[in-house]
Amino acid sequence: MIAAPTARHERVARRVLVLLAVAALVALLIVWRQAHGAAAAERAGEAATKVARTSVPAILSYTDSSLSAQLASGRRLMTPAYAKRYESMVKSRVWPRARKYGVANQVGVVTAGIVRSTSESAVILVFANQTTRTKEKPDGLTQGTRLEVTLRFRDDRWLVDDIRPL
Amino acid sequence: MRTIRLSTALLLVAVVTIGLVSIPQWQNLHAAKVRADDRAAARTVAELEVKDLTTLSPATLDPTLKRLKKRLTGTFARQFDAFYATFASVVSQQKVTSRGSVQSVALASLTERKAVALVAARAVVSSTETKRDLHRAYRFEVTLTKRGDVWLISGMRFVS
Repeated sequence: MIAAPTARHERVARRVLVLLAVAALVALLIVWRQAHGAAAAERAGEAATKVARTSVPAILSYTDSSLSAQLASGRRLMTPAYAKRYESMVKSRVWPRARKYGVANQVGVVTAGIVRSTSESAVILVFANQTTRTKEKPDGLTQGTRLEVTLRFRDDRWLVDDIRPL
Repeated sequence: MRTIRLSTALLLVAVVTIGLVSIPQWQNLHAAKVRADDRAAARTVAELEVKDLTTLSPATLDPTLKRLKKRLTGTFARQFDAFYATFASVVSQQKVTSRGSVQSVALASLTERKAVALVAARAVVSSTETKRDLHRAYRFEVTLTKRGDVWLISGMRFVS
């Protein structure tokens, strides 16, 4: 026969239940945060890959007659810090050659994958093909390139923060 | 007979409710951990295979080819078997030496049983046919299949 709970027993049971409820709530919050973080990182990697697929050709393709316009539109796809570095690099190394030889550069992404990602940043490996045409060689030369593209999530969108040829 | 207080009953309900709400969260976390483990394992297998494939020398050819073969499965493993003898004789006769390194590994897709990895690698190749070292850059797409708990390679190609 089970004895009816006394007031003292119930007080103890209530304390145990309070402790259990607090512990379970803390555990739930930790688990929810970890699960949410992992899912967010996975979604971030996929979203960043899509952006890398469109941003890389938009940034790296140009013709000698539209260098300024191309740079201006490309800047919108980059973080301010990278836009500054990229502008300095193309103005000193790409534009002089492009103007001198009438270069047109067309970049197409073949495939891309996630190297690593968090909800705030991602590194994407991009295999792209680059066709470079000049006035002397209008048929152009196509080369395969391997790029590691770093993207950051800023103001609700993914922006290119670095493009590193491997 | 004494009844329990409403506050005690509510506490009990709260504990049970929190427990029930936790179950799907635990399942989500577990699934995320399995996917993270799969990602890491598939990447590692792809990286090791490319490293071995681009690092060859006549002196270490047999153990290298055995390691390469051990990570393969399905039709691709059978294709490798057919190719094995020719490959080994070319490396031995022409004294092909290749020092490979992997620059980057990425996952293009992942499901419970299939993964596609991208590997960027380099190698410095020399042989009796070449007078000097040749520097090669490679782009591999490696298809992997999960057999039991192990990720094995079921396809491999150069990305052109």
